Amino acid sequence: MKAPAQKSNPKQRAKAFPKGRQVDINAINDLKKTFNDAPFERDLLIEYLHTINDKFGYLSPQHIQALASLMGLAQIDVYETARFYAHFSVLTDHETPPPPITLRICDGPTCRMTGAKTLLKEALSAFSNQVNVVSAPCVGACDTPPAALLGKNRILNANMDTIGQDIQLGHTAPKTSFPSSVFAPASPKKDAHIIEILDQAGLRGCGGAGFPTAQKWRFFNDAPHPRVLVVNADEGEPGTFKDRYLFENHMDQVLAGICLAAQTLEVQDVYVYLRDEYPHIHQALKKILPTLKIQGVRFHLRRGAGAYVCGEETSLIESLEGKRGLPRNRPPYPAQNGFMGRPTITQNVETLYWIAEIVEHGVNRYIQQQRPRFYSVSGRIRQPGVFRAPSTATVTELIEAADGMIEGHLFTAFLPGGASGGIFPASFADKAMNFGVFEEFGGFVGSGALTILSNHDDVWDVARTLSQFFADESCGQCTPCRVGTQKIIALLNNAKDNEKLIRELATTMGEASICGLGQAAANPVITLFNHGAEKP
Amino acid sequence: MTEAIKFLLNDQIALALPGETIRQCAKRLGHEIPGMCSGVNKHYRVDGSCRLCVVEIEGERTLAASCKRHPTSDMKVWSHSERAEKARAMVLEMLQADLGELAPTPFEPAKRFDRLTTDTPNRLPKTSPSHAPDTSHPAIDVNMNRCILCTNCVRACREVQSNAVIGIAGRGGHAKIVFDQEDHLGQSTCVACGECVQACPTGALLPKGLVPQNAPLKAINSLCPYCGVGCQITYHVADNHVVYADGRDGPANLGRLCVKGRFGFDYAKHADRLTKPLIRLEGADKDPNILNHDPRAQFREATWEEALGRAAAGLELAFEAQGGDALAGFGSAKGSNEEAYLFQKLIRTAFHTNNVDHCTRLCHASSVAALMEGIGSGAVTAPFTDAVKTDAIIVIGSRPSQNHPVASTFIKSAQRDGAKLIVMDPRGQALSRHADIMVQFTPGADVSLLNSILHVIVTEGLVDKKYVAEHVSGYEGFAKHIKAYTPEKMSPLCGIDPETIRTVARTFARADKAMVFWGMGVAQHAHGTDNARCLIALALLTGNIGRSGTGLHPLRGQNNVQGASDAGLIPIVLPDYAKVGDDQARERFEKAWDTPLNAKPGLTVVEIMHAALAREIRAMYIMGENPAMSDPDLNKSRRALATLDHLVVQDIFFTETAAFADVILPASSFYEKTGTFTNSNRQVQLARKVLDMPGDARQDLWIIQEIAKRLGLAWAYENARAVFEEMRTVMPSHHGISHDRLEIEDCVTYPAPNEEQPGKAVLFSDRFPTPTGRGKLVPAIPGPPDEPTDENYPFVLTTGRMLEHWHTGAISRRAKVLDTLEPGPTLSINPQDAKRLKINPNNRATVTSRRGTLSAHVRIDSTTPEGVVFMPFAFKEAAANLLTNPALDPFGKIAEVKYCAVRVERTKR
Repeated sequence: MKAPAQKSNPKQRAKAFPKGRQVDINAINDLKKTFNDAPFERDLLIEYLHTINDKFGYLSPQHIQALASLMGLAQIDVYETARFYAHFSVLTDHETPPPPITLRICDGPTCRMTGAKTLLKEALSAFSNQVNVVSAPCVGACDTPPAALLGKNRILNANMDTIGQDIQLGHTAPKTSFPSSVFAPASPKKDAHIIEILDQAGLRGCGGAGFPTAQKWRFFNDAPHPRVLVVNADEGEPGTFKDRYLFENHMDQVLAGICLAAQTLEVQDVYVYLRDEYPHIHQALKKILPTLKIQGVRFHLRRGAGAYVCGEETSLIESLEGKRGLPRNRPPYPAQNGFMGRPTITQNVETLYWIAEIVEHGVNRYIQQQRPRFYSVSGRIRQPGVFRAPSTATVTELIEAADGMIEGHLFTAFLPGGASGGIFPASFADKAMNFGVFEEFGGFVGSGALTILSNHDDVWDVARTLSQFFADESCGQCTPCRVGTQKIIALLNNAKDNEKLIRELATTMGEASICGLGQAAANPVITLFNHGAEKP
Repeated sequence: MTEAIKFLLNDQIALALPGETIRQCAKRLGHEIPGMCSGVNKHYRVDGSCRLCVVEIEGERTLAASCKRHPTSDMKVWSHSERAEKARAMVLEMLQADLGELAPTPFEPAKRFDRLTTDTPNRLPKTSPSHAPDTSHPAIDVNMNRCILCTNCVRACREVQSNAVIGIAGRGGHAKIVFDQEDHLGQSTCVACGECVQACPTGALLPKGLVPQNAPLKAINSLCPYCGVGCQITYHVADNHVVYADGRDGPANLGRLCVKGRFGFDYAKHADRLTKPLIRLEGADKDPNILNHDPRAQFREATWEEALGRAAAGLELAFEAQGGDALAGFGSAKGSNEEAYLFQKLIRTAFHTNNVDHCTRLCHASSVAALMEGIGSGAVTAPFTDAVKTDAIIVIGSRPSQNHPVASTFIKSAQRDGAKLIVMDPRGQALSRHADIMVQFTPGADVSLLNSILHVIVTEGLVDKKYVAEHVSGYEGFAKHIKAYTPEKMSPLCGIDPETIRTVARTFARADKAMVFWGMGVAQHAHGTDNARCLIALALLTGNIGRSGTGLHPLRGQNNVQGASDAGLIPIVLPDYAKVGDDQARERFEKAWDTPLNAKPGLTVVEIMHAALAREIRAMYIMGENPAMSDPDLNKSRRALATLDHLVVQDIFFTETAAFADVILPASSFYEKTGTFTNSNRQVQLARKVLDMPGDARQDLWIIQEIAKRLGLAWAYENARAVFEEMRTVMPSHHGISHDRLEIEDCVTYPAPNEEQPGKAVLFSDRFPTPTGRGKLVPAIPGPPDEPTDENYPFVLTTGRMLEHWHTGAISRRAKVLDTLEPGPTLSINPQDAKRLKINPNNRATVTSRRGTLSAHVRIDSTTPEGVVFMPFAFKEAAANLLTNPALDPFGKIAEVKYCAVRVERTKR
């Protein structure tokens, strides 16, 4: 872009083109070919951007304009959507396109503990001329850290050798170990008593908010049709990987839960919104979803595009509509006015698993087992992984389940709820990883992501990293979060002297943000102020 | 919900009106809750993102945005509790932390946010980077150091004006306002409507070059002088010049403006303003080609006495020697109703002739002819703001986004909210991307296309049988006539495939409520009346007149063309469309004006030019019209003007027409007078004087009366009010509108039968003002354009306007912002045609028709179809009407300026 003229000029001649950028006919033809001349639908914008970004490795201004033109949209409609999501490489004019394949090095808390920072530095140095090397927030591989994504290939326990090898061999496709036979669950019968059963069971959502499932389903009592069920597979809370695990190991039960929900709620459309960091799951679902035959129900698979905030229900719905993921003010609630204005209910993957479990095996068993959950346990423990345990399980018990602390590491602190649930000292480890336990202390369990820290970890560093995460992921819509997350990072340079001001910021963020991201973004810092043994 | 909602606000019982938000209710009850993302403009969608308006609600964990929340029964709300106030103060501190200084400015809207802030030192560290200001645009300066991301500009651009230029790129602290693909404003698709500037509460977006004034600005409520939308404006004045213009919340514009009204007011202060009367020098002969030389050199200054005397004497001489029909007058569609009324009264009473006309002849004459014939009334049947009430809209032969930008905002909103938009235009346009069906048909093939659509409606049983039975005449004959016009047969003639024709017909006819908008593409043809007949048939067959959300709306171009027509500036009718040949009607005026009147209809604009050449018309009085630029076949028109024995031109600039005058009288611009103006919606609105006249220019009303006096008419209208009050007495449709009423209400729709009730916006719900009370279906037969293309002249030339310029350019070329945005003439040509003709973007092209030739820079434009070229007629350096065809529509007498045959080649150096 040229620098604008500032002085008053002698009269310019009339422009040789209409205002603004002129459509590039080559770009139009590129896209017509790429999309087989098919008609475009507004809500599929993000899918189209993925297709173009996957094919060319970036989004050029010409392609963005051409897509807008073919979709009957203005350039800004496409441009601002593309610029919201981290997974789109939006080029400026004359910018050299990056290498078409992107190598994402995970920067999540557990990956950092296992050398991710160094890995990133070395990868940048060694591989930048071959692939586009970038840092990425938690990719949900905390059981196999450090993690990297080379294109759609998840490299677990990555190191320079394994990465280098995969680059050499061009391994950019998902590695998957799904059975080659296509899964088809038995069509569950519709049963109006299911809501009562779930009510008795006391099932609460497992995505983070913990909303009672039966209560949520009752919102649909008088809802008009068409209705929508959204499966929230965005699993972005750092330290959480249980949904991924359930897809990989219990796909049948997850699908059973989805079908049960779809039928009970009498929806016409099911949208599975899957985070883009799980391309191996995408590959599987792409084959499996079309095989689910339920009368009057259409299944849709949609990719996230690198935005943690899209795990928030209304932000997710905005993303499904092909827009920037901005959470909505409520009321109205999605059950009244959700996707495209239709009544919409959103459920987390794990919640759907439990719905199938409860319906299949009964309420009593579920209650007897103390309302179990799948906990993602990672960090300084020997056997990170997903553990099915009662919701009364304590931190101590989960550490034991994970085979205890790594040799030479003393347990000092933990994150009970990913990045949002606060940082607590080991003295809190006898508490149950359950709803309603950590709230009074300024934290929460949420998605059940337990990250264990040791004496090798500087909790204030962790707090800074998590604060940076929230600043990066804030959608920017509301003042308390957009500005608050930035200011906290600056003030953390001297946390001790700035404690009062940080607390004021945190209060306002908690009180006045539109969504949970802003409301929780200061939790890491505030819980440290309140409970951390050492002041910074 | 129609009942009030009882809740507790700050521990007191409050009653919220149905639909009220907490914030609105609180404000009404005296609790002012601040906010920036909402409340800046009451018509904007409420956003709830700035969080300044948060309140405490019992039982809710977090605070709620009071701008979005509606009270429910027994809700307990505290708007100024400690929790709420603390949050508010912190949010304010957050917004101020990175805010740059607002440089001193007279622009009041930019100060709204600063009024909320305090001087308390900000404790938060600055974390945002500094933004370089963007001053690339001629009208708008961008300074993102003042942006608080309240997103008012985003809603202004995307939802209110629907121009879709402004958006937000990035997230979190990196989120920023951008244009198109983060382009500089001056290189973007921004049309400078300025809605964002008016909406911005911090001065991040400012009108360019505003200088702080020494005294507070005076705010004067008036109107826009440009188009028939009739936007209400507040002008902020200092030192006898307009500093800036604000959109006012008028019924036609709801606070919106376009680039012309908002930024194009400075022409009134241009150095070219006529300030002294001018008289042609002895021996300076009239020369049709004088415009290629120095026309001003043929004139000398004179006193008003001498000039008026000379002006009247010449007219009187012609009258005495050749009789009244040797004289003609062109009144102005840009002048007030009062000026139009007096002008036609003068021509009719002083010269006993009906040779009085104005530029409607060049505009909607064919539409009006068809409407008068079909439904007995030439004006719109419903306002354009009713677009938001429709289920389907046809826009044909009209480019409202450039010529009626604010009216087009309602069409775009309607489409966004679910109405089906069908746009029919041989050229692509701004509405194309909003259109559910875009129909780019062959130029000139309107009747073929429309007949095939009518055919589908009739043969597929889509006719509203009940409506036709009760309100329409001529159905039998029409149905028989339309049988032959199958989509398959018409498709090759109009260039649209049969399936699309059927879809258009079904979409329109099946809609519960539909409106038809049209413009010059329909009217400015030798078969313009036929075109309009088809549109009227569309509405009559489907019962789309007379109900809310339905109607026929020929978008009226000039700010007062409707009023000028209503006031009788037409050769065949007196004020309020009383036919001159209708004895009873004419006698009413003879009585009111105490003078006999001529019963013979007069000549129309183009006929007058031809008559002048034939020496049948010998003298003319032209007020505020520029036929030497706006008439077709300019070489001929200019010859005609040069042939006149005597020409009096009354205008604000030395126009191309003035070059042929004998006497030039310097008049008042729109900003310098008070008067009434009637827009396309039949809304009569009051314009108020904003500026003093320059030099020795005089009020048009005074000049007309001075001439009248010298012609023996004893007129003594003290002011516009006096004239208007007389007009009311002879115009039944304006009975209920008094000048006083306009002073108070600013706007009254006509017909207004009495002073108490509002006028009637939607007409003909029960009957039409025709002899039968029914609407008439009139068959139209397609025919070729008057001058088809051939080997020598293979391109179709179509002419028209552009967003930034107004008609002949007399005023807009002299408005700095407008002329900077579009500084010169261009020929729009399809990229493939350009390539074939070896014309590069920086070349000029020579365009030649059988009547003239000119050269202009090209504009490579893919919305122009192959085989067609387009030129705006605003540029005197390359006056498009030199090329156009004066062939007239037989009924409306309008010329086919939308179609003639030309050849195009690269201009040789």
